[in-house]
Amino acid sequence: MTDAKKIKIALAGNPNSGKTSIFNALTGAHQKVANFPGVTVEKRIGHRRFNGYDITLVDLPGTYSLTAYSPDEKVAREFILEEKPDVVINVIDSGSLERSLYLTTQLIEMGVDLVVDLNMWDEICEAGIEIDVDKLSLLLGAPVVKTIGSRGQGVESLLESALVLAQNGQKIHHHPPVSYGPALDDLVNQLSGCVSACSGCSGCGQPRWLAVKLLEGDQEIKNKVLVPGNGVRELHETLDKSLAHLKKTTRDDPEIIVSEGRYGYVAGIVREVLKRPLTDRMRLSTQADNILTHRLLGYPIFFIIMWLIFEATFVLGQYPMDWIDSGVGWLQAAVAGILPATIWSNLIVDGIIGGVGAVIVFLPNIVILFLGIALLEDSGYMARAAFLMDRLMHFLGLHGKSFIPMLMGFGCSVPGIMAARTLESPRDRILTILLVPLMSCSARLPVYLLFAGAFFGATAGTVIFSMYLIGIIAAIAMARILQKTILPTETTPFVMELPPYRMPTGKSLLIHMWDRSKLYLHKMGGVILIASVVLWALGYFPRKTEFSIDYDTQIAQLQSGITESGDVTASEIARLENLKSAEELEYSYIGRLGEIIDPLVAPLGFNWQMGVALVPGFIAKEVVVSSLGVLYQMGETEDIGGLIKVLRHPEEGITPLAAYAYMIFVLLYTPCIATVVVIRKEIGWKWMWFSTVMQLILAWGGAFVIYQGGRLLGWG
Amino acid sequence: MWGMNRHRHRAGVTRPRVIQEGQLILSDLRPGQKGKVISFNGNGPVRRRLMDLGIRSGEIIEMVRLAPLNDPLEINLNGGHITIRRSEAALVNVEVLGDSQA
Repeated sequence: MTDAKKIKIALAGNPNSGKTSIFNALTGAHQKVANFPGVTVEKRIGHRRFNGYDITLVDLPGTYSLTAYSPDEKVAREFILEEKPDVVINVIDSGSLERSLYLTTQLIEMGVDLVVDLNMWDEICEAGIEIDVDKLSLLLGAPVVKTIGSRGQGVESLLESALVLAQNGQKIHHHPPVSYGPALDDLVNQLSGCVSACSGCSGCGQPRWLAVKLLEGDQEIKNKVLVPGNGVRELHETLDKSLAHLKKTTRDDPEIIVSEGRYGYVAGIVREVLKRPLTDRMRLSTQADNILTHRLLGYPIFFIIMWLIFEATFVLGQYPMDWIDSGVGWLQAAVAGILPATIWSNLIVDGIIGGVGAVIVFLPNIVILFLGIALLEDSGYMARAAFLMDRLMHFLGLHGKSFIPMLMGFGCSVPGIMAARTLESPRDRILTILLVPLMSCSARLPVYLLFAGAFFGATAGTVIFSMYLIGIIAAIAMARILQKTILPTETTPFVMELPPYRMPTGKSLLIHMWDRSKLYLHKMGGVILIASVVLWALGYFPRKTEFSIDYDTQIAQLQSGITESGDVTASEIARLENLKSAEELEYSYIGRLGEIIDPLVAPLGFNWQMGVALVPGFIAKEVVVSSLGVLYQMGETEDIGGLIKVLRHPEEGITPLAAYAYMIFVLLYTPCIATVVVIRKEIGWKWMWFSTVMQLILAWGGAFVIYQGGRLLGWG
Repeated sequence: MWGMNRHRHRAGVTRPRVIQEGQLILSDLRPGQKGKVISFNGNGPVRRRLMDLGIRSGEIIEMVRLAPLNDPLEINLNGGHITIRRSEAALVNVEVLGDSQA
């Protein structure tokens, strides 16, 4: 062990124990976020060099227990069993010793080399609570270290203790067995004896822990342990006998009895080491909550906080987004000016630079939003937000915390979907992510502005507002349908801690922000870039060489020709160029795809230009507007006034009803490529396709009902 | 009792199961009231989570407040505050310990 200078340490602990702040203090910025294999549970890995050791630190998900019921607990447990970390540091919120030690006793039983970290030591000192650290260490049979994670105090001694353990193993510390009371202890001892004697069980884990798990009826452990082999018969018999005995003597589930027994043991330890608190450490938080979750004031305050985060994310974020936009535009113009006009220059300018621009343009949103979320989480307000919103979100079959991703969806689906990471249950995450794109994002607004401006005049505002409302109604309907069908309401409990309010530290906020940005650029940026290039190619190829008019010759003639009527010439050139790009777009794969879908969208009242424009809308919804500009030979104009006039022209035959149906379609159809990529990264291929197809059906159906229904009623 | 009935009515919760004299389900405690956990109605994952968080027989729980829409609830258990849905709190039978400020 001593010459192998590599050591693996895992961090385990309850949610809100300050585990992440300890992890940050231990590793600094040397960390990365990945998922545990096969599940969407986050795994943080960090590195640290200390006293000549190369230490790998893994932050396990926060759990109260180590059963096989929730994905978080399962992941934590499997990591400890399979990866066998050299040392486990158990981070404990010193203020809730009893609840924390419940997990500690399970770690002890699993036979890991344990360092117990009494974190947030400053808080209990302030509250006048005293803990006898030496006695706790003796009773647990593990070194106990006091830390203040938010200030990084004590983390060095944490590592020192861990290194001593890693070198000497359990030789210097002996964990006394967890006692469940005399009656249960007898059964556990008997079973544990059988487990030791059973050949199939060797290597599965500590016999005593396995025995307890068998009594609890843990299915995974049963599958692992009760395999054919010597002594398995006896084990089976003893287990059945023990369970029969338990059933006879008590009326509860064996699992509950074991849990009660464990709590009894923990309560005993706490009685010995804890001098009763003189003050309630929740006193200040309770006073704050008298206002923050007040019956009348709670919601207004909540909505003001949400509004602030939303405004910061999307209004403040607009400035850097504009800089990125104009920077990308400048770069495109500069590169286009240098390179000769070939396919390659077009690929670089429109495909690659445009694609990179499409990736980084979301970055300001993501950075600011996750700063806001980190503030909410670290301060403790996130739990209050869930407390306030749960009743409403529960109606949709969701958790109170789902509100924030949904709200962010009104700005942009990409950060909204990423924000769903704050949800613990995978089912809640999936449902939330499926609903986020139905919140009308800001990229859809230009389309509404164009069509409402063209067809609804004075009532344009109401019409646009109705889009937002319909999006919400569609989300509610989808939620109700999904929870009745493929995503049934789970029995996962809501019950959770309301931690005391705490001052967030700058370091943890920065790390959180940095994490998300890196995650976005690493995991999603590349795919969004590739997708953008592919979409560019679909709009660029095949090249048209034969045009209805020989534009190039005409333009060249105009350019070389007479200059006395300069204005006329310039506008004539522009007109010809617009005509040319319209023909090119029509001829490209995207244009052809548009023509293929034309019969599909005809029943919705869309003309072919409207149908074709929906396809590049897949790049980003606002591209629908510029594509219509190209198709109507206006060029990619910023000024929608001209376009409004063209659309309104009676010759186009677009009725207000068809325009409304079109807005509905844009609201509901498959979101942009970036959203699809993020959905796939967050919840996998299956749900990505489900979401894409579901929204296409929803959009078509919605537009169909509006248009045909409206016609039946004689509105268009 | 009159006050509690009115409250229950407002919250839209079905009539309480009075298990025994002086016993209530946890969700029927009024803010400020304390109760001692006596037993549970039913098992399953919610029961397990309640146990994980330390809600078990013999513990004393104080109802701190109700969310503005009367669900979920905030309770105080050993100085730690926990939020719990009304439906989850209905699994816990408590013995009422005097009135507020007890």
